[in-house]
Amino acid sequence: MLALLMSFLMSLAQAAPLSNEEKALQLLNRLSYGPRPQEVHHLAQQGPKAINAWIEEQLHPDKIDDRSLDSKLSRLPITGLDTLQLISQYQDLNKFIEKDMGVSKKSLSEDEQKDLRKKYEDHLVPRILDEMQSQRLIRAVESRRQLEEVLFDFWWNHFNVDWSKGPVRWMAPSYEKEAIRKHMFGSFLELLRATAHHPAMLVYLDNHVSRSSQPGKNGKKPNGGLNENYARELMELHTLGVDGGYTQKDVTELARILTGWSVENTNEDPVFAFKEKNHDQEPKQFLNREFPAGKAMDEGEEALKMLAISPATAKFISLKLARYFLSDEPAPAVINRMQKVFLKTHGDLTEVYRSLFASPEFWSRTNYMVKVKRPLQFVASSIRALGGELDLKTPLPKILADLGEEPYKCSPPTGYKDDANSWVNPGALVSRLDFSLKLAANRMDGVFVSLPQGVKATENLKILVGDVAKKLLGHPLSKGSEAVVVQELSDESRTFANGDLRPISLAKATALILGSPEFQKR
Amino acid sequence: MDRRLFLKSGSLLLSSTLVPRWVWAAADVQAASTKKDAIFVFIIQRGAMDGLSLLAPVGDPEYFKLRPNIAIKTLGTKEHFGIESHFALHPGASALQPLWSDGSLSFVVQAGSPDSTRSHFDAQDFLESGAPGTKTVTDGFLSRALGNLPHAGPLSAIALQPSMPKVLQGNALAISMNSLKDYSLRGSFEKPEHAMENFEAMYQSAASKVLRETGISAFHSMQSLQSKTANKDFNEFLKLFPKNTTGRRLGEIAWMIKSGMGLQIAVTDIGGWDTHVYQGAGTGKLADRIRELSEGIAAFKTALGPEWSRVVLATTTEFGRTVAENGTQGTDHGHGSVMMVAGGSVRGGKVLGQWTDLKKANLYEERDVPVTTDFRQVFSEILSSHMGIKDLAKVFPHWGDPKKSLKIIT
Repeated sequence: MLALLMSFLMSLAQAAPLSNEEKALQLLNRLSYGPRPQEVHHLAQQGPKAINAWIEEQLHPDKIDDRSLDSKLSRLPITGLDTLQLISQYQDLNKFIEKDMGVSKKSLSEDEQKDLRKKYEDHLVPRILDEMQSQRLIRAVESRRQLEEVLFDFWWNHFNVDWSKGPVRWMAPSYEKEAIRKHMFGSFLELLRATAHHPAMLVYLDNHVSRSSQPGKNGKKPNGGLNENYARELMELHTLGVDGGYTQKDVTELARILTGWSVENTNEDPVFAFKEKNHDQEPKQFLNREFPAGKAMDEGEEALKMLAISPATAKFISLKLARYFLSDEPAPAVINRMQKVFLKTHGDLTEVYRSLFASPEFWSRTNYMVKVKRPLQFVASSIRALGGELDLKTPLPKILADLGEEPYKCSPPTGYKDDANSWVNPGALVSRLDFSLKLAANRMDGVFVSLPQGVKATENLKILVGDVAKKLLGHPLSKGSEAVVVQELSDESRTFANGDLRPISLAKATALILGSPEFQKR
Repeated sequence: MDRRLFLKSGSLLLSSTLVPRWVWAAADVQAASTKKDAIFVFIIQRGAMDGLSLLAPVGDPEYFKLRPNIAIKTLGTKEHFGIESHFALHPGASALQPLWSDGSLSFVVQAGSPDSTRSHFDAQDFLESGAPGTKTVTDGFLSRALGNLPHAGPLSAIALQPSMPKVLQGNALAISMNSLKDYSLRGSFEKPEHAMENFEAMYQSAASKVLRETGISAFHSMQSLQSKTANKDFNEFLKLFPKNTTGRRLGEIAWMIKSGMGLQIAVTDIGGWDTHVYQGAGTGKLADRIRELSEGIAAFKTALGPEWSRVVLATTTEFGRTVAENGTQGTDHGHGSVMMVAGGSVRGGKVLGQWTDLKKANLYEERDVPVTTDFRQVFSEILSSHMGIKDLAKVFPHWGDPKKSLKIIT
C-alpha cells in the first residue's frame, strides 16, 4: 500500500511542471554553455516572459552587442586572416627559413633543411590550430551570443571537417566563418550549399580530385576517376541519414553528378571551381530522377536542392537537433512536429529551432537535467559558473584533447558523438575530477575564476553548502553529495576564521560540487 | 526487455533459496572452466584498411591488372616477404616476419561483416556491437564477453584511447584512458587520496546509475593503477616500444600484463586507413600506417617475453576497399579485408579462410573482395578456445550457430 502511495507521489512529482527557476536553468543549460553567477536567479525573477524574450534575442545574434568579445578576439593575430593571407604568412617554408630563422636556404644541407621543415611543421603550423581552439573556447565561455556558440558546435560536428587533413588547415578558419557561422540561422539549403562549395569540405572528403571515368571526346580514358567519398557522406551524414532510402547506385550517381566540383590553387589561394573537363557528361539517374546530359554544374545544384528539402532530411535534422538539445532519446512527437515545420518553411532553421524550444517536451520534467555534459560543455560551464574569463592563450584545448573532444580535430566525418555512453567512463571521469580540483584551486594557467560570492558564513553547514551549490549548479545537490561536502567542512576550527568562511574551505566545496555527479548533467 | 537486464533478473531469481544446490555447483564449474590468465588484445583499424595491400595476392594476375599504380610489387626483389607463394606481406609489415616464421601469427583472408554497408560509421558500429545489420544492439560484444568472464578486479577491461569505444560499452564496466599516467587526480590542492575518498563517497550515492557505476569503478581502478605505475621500471619498459601512439599504447597494455593487474580484455584503435587518394604501394601513406601497427605488435611480443603465451591479439577493420584502384591512385570503400591473429596459443604461420581469385565474377557486387569468413567466427574461436567462454550465444546474439571452425587457437 505504502509502495503504491510512494509511486503515486513519485509520478506526481514527475508530472509537476518546472518552476520558474527550473525553467531558467533548463534554458541556460541547453541554449548556452551553462549559467553564469546569478543568471538563473535574475531570469527566474523576471518570469516566463523574460524567458521567451531571451530565446528571441538569442535567435537573432546580430542584434546582440558583443563588442567587448570582438575586440578581445581581434587581438588574436591569426583568426582575422583569410585563407590567402594565412597561406602567404604561414605556409611559405622559404620565408620561414630565411626571414624567421635568419639563414639562407642555399647555405643549408639537405638534412638541415629537413630539420627546419620539421620545426616548421611542429611549431609554426600548429599555431593556427592553437588560435582557432583558443577563440572557440573564449567564445563558449564569454560570448553573449550563447545560442550561436551552441549551434556552432552542433553544425560543425554535423558538417565536420578535420583540421589535420592536409591543406584543410589553411581553409578551416574560412570554413568556420563563411560556410557554417554565416548560415546557421538561415535556410538549410543555403547552409548545405555553403559547405558543398567550400574548399575545406571538398578537400576533406576528396571530391576535389573526383573526375569522370568516362572516355573523353578523343575516346581516351582520362587520368583519374570517380571518388565516392563526399557523395556518400553528403547523403548519410549531411542530409538523408543512413536510413534515408538511398542505394549504392545513388551514391555512385551522385558522385558522378558532383564530378568537377573542385578546388583551384589548392596550395596557394584555394577557391571553389567547377572544372568542366572533369565533369561526367553522360546522363545520370539519381534517387529515381533522370538527370539529362550536359547540365554541368546545375546538376549538382539540383541534387543539393532535392536533398535539402527531402522529408528524410527534415526528419534526420530534426532528430539530431532534438537529440542535441533535448535528450538522448527524444520522443517521436517532437521530432514529427519539427519535421513538419522544416518542410513547411522549406528548411528555415530558425523556425525549426523555435518549434523545438517552444515544445512542451522542452519544458517537461522528463527532459530536465537528463543530458550528460560533453567535455566542452563541462569545461565551459565550470568556468562560467565561476564567472570566469580566459586569457588569449589557454591550456584548455589540451584538456579537451585528454577528455576526447579536441576542437576541430575529429577525424571521422561523423563529428563527435552526442550520447552519454560515449562520454561517461571511468577514465574521462577521472580527468573531469582532476580539472575540477585544479580550477577551484585557481591553478589553471590562462583561466581566471572567482569562487562564489556572498556565501553566508553560517555554522549551519547544510544551509551553507546548499547556498554554494545553488550558486554553482542552479539547483540543489543530491543528499549524498551534500553530505560529503558538509562532512568536508565539519571541522569548524579549519573551516572558519574569525567567523568567516576561509577561502580554502570554499575552494574545497567548489571543487567537490563541480566534480559532483549533479554537475556532470545539464 | 534489455537482454542483459533479463539475464541479470534471471540470476536474481536463481539466488532465492528455492534453487537446489546443484545449480550453484553447475555455475561454479562454468566459471572455473574459463581460463584464468588468458588475455585478449583487440586492435581496431578505423577507416577501412586495404587488405589487398597488407597481404597482397601477388599470385593473382588480376591484382596487378586492377591496380596498375598501387599494387605491392615486391616479388623478386629484396623486399620480398613471401607467404605461401600466393601472397606477399607488405614490406611495411616486415617487423611481423619473425612472428610469422615462429608460428605465432596467422592471417584470415576475406574476413569481415556480412552486412553490405559501406558507411564507416555503421560498419564500425556493427563490428563493435558484434551484431551486423541490427542497429538495436547498443552494447559492444567485448562488454558482453566480459560479463561472461569471472570477475578479475577493476582493471579487467581497458581501452587505451581517449573515449570509450562501442565494443566495450555496455553493462560490464570497462575503463578508457588516454594513457596510464593520466589516470590520477594530480590537480588536487590537498592530498589526492583525500579528494579521491570524497568523490568516491559522492559517486557511490549518485542518482544516475551510469554515473554511479562509472564512479565506483574509477576509484577502485585508480588505486590499483597508481601503485603499479609510480616507478621508474615503467618508464624503462616503455622504451622498448616505438615512439608513436600505437607503440606507447601497446607498451602500456604490455605493462599492465607484466605487472599483474588482472587484465583480461584490452582494446585500442589506430586510424588513418581511409586511403581514397594516393595511398602509395611499398612506401607511402598506407605503408606508414602498416609500419606503425606492425612494429608496435612486434615490440609487444618481444617485451612480453613468456607472458606472450597468455595473449591473443587480433586486428580488424570495419570493411575493406575496392579491388580496383580509383582515379586518384587510392581505393574506395569496399567489403572484405584481412584480419591478423597473433599470440602464443595461435595456430600460426597460416593464411586461414577461403580465398577466391579476383576475377570480376567472384567479387562482391563485381567490385569488392567478398566476405567468406564472418569476423564473429574469428572472435568466437578466440573467446571460446582462448578465453574459455562457453555460451557464445550471449556474446553474439542473432547469429545462430558458429560456422566451420578455422582452428585458429591450438
